[in-house]
Amino acid sequence: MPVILVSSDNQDFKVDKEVAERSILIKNMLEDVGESDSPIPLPNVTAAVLTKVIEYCEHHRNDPVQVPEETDDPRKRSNDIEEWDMKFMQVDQEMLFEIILAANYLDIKPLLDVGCKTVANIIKGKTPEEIRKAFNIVNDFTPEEEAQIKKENEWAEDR
Amino acid sequence: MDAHHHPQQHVFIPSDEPLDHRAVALHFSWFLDKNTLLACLRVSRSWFAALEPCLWHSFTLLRDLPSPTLPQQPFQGVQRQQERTTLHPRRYPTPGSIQRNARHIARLRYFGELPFLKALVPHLNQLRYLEVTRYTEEVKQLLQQNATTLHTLILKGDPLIPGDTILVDRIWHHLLDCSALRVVELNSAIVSDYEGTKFGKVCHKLTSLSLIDSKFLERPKSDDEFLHLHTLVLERSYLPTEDQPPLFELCPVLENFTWRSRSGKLSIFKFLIFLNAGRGEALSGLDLSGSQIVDSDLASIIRLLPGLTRLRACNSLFGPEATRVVVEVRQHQIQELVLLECPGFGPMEAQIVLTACSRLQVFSAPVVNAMHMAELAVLTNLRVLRLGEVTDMEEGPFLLDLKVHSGLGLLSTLGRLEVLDCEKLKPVMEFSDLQWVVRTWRSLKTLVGSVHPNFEQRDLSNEFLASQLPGLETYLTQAERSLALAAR
Repeated sequence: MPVILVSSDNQDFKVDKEVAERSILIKNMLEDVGESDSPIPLPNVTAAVLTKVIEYCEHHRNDPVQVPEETDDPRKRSNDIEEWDMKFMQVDQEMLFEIILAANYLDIKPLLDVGCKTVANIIKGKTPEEIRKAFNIVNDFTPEEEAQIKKENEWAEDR
Repeated sequence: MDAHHHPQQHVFIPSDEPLDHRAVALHFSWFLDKNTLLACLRVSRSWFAALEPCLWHSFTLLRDLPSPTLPQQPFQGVQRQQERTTLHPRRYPTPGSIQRNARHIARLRYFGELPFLKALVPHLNQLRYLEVTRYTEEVKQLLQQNATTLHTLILKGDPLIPGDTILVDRIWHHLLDCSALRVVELNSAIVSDYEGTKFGKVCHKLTSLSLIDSKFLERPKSDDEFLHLHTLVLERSYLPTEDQPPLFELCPVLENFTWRSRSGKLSIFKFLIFLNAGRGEALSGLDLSGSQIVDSDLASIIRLLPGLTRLRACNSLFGPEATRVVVEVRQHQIQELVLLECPGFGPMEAQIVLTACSRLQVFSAPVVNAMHMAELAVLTNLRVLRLGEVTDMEEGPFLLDLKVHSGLGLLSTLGRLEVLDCEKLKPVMEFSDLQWVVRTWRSLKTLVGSVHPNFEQRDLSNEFLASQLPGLETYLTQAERSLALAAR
């Protein structure tokens, strides 16, 4: 049972309903719309990103849907990415962030997790300067401001 | 992570943008250790703005204890001496930081009677999770301020003050006002004998209720069933018997039921009637440890639970009959089986279970030893392996020959192993065996005990494993691990 998704740059993607419903946003839209087979517009996702997202959903179409308990501590590990997912995430940084934002918008939690874990692994253990280099970010703090932030948040450091 | 760095890409509908960033930033922060998160705050202004609130999402405030390990400094002056003997102050956030950020606290764990708490409380109105050890009047204020958001409430007495109890009567009408409240856990609590109705009203909205080391002079009163309660934990708690039905009878959608009670016996007869009426269909997790249930009753119970996947029955008479039912009707679904200190569960029963139950992820029994390597090897889903004591030993610790060439190699199938507990049964391994472990059990995250019986070699072995397996945590005993987890 195919579903048509339309990217922000007006490209159509024909996808099995089961695959599309890995996105809770799309799943809810389909439930609201009922039997209609009109295309679903996704104004927040470009074709390039949607291609990757669909690839992920296809591969994981049979995964059990996990509902996390509200009470659980939300902090998680990042050293348990599956091999396929690791290869899937070997994209340039811009695409990596686009995938994370798309996974958040489309409400595909496992993909959001994998994206966040991938970025977390890039920056783990790095100093602020090393993180800036990794992402080409300009430092817009003065040295005094940076020192103040460090001092102000000493209480949170892991001893 | 910030759209400013990708000027060509227009990803968001502008009105949604701030919220989307916040949700993503928070989600992302959960995968970072504290120190990396702190480094991120200093990267740039936009990273600081996005991530500073995330630092405050989960806030823990525990009691300071005097540091026992300050070094002796024989030639220090008077001031140093004074520092040595005072409490090590925990470094606290500045008032400015609290003003800006305390409102982002969604999960709070604190120890009551800490002066710093008073500075925080006025800012807290977004709490979803509240865990308090040592009740103080601040609890009432927090319940009032967070009545529309609070989802989970855990109250505990002070473990260092014997007899420290929480009189829940003080807060019933606050609990009734908490519209989002779904999970309640009460430790060392007392409920008076006229509060059954309020108790019942609160239970009606809950999905999970845990009563631990508590005394209930009246049980929750209700004419109707608790239609949302899927988890019920009764641990060492006293509930009056009266003429009221047992609590589980009011819970038709129960998925997890724990009865670990030293005082008061679980009415097995009533429980079996309850299950026989088809009311145990949703039950997937059952913990009857310490309930002294006999083998045949356990067998009947397991037979009446079509959805059972997790069973704990430590300190019970779980034996051949219950084993037979598990392997005949539950062998393809049982994922967790914990049977410590069950004198009726011997090596033969262990062998039968290991052979039949292919989906086991957690298995703890006293008799897992070298004989079972081949059976263990088929449990490819096993996540937790706890090596137990051999019951006919007079002196411990029993040493288990766990070398690659004497059986360990067979366990290369346990690719998902996350926890190895060898506190009770110490493996004797050589360096090549440790290298095998780090190559093979890549998912190993927790090691309890030591992989070398020799005292000097122990720390070196554990350090080696920890250095080769990222994220591995090592503890010498389960007690040490429990303390560390509680402190987190």
